[in-house]
Amino acid sequence: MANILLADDDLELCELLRQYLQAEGFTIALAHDGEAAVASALGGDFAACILDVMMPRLSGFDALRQIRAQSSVPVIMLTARGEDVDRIVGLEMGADDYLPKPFNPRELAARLRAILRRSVKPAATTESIELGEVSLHPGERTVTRAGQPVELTGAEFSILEVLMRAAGQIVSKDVLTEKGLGRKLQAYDRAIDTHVGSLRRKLGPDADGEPLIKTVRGRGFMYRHG
Amino acid sequence: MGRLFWKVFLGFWLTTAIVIVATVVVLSLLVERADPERQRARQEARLETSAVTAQLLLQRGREELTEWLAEQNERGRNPLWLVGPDNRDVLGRPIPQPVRRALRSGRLDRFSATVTAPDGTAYRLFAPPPQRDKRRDRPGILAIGLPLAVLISGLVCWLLARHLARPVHHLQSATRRLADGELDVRVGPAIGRRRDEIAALGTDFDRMAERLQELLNAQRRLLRDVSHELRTPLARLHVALGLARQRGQGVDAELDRIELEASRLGELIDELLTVMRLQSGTDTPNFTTVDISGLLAEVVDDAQLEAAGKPCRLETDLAAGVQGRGDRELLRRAVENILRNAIRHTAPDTVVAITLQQQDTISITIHDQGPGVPEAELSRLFEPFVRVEGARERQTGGYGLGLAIAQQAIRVHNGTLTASNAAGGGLEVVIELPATD
Repeated sequence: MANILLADDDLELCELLRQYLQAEGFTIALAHDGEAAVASALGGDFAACILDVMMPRLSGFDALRQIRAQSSVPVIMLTARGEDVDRIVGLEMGADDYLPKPFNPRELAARLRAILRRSVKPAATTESIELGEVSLHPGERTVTRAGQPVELTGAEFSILEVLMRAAGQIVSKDVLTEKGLGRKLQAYDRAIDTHVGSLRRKLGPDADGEPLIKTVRGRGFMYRHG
Repeated sequence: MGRLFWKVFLGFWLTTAIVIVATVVVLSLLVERADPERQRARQEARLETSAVTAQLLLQRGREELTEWLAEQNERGRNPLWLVGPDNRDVLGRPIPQPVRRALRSGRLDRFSATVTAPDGTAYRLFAPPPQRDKRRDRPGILAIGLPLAVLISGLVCWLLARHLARPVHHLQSATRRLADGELDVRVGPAIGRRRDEIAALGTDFDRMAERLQELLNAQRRLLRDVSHELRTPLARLHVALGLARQRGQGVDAELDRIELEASRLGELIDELLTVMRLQSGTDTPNFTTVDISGLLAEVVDDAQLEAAGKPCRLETDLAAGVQGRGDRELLRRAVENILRNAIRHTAPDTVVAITLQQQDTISITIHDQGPGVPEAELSRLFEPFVRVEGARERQTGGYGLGLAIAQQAIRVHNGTLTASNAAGGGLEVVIELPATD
């Protein structure tokens, strides 16, 4: 069974979530502040972590930064609803997904499964892709540009892989969400937009100063071919 | 410098200038009138004594008379003339105009007297009123002095007006900034070390701003805490619901209902917080150049899922390449809320039309095919928690906050948001944003 670390300072919520997620087939360990979350995440063997943004001692963002310094364990951030800043900061700092609080636990379970599928299941092909200066190696889950490694989060890597495999074609937002994040696109879901924005920044522009990933208005995204 | 400055400055200056000019005019009139009058009186008195003297001297002989006359003419500035029967001056001087005129008319006026010599010859003694001394009438004094006085008074008035108007200006701009949500604005430093009513007003303004800032901070803190505290039980409620679903059987309908209401409660809290944040102006908008055309396409794209669920169709007519200045996230939310509202209220299987045009302003029109809104309620449509009676009832969802958020967001952009019932039916909401040059 997948080992999940749940870090939230609301003890009662943690207890309820533990019961719920256990019934869904996960094994849950709890942490109630940021420092404990970092210690557990780095010390234990977890398939994924759920971090609340608002925690005592160490905020969810700081905990995420410390975890990311040493580990690439998938992380879902629980953000305050309506705080766009939380979502953007969380995803850019390397969270794999976010869920605004309060949330439906079914949704949390679905996202957990999506993340686990993505990190457990080997890529459909392990064949490297090379387009211009950018090379993507599914085996090691690494990306280089002109030989220099580009640090990507798990979600960003999956999205880039989908886009690069379909280079020159438009990938719609729902296909990208399904293939890249392993879940269904929801109404007013802006996770993909944030991830693509972050990818653009990390990859940098092409020789003409244009972003490598183009937004095709109303239709989706396209990795520019050639 | 504003209107107050010019009013005070011009008002004071005009008044002082008028007073200066009027004083000069009145004074010079008085002097001009008083001076010849006095001289005339003196001349008359002199004539009287001179006539007596001349009479006496004539009896002694002509030599003494001419001697005395010459002496008189040397001492005084107003000469005396003694004209003999031959119409010549005794001293042989040329006879001045007024004397000649008096001689010709033959009338004795008050400036002449008849003196008879012992031999019976009649002389006439003239003491004509003094001619105006042209040299004393120096026009230079008035021509330079008067404008100079007016100019100096202008300078003084300018200083005075600035002294009065400047702090008022500081207060005005500070008040405006305060009203725009810049709560840490204070006028104390700008007003400086003056100690008058205006300075007191400035101190009071600062105290008021201080208090306002405290209150708003407290309110903001309270709202944040309350919303956080409300979200906590709400989050537990959702999980407890999930647990109930895992275990319970046969109560799904009830659980669905509980879940729906819990979600609504969550949405309500979110929207409430957003309205509060926008109203208090605590979020400093992040203004950049925004591709409005792209933004609209994106919002429409995002709403397709909801439109498909209604079902209704979204039709767009978007001018390409429209750019505006604004906070992209706020604008997106404004348009999205209006569009979602339209989708919610349009009749099933109808069209919601989204139009973007740029003329003098950027205008975004969203037109649904719903029941519209009673005319009387239109103006209240964008107020928080206003629920339009009849046509739009509770079951259509929403808490009347989406449009309030939209309006606040548009207000931040100095734009306007108007709603009207379209001629062909349905509600038409128009966003007008200032165009960038």
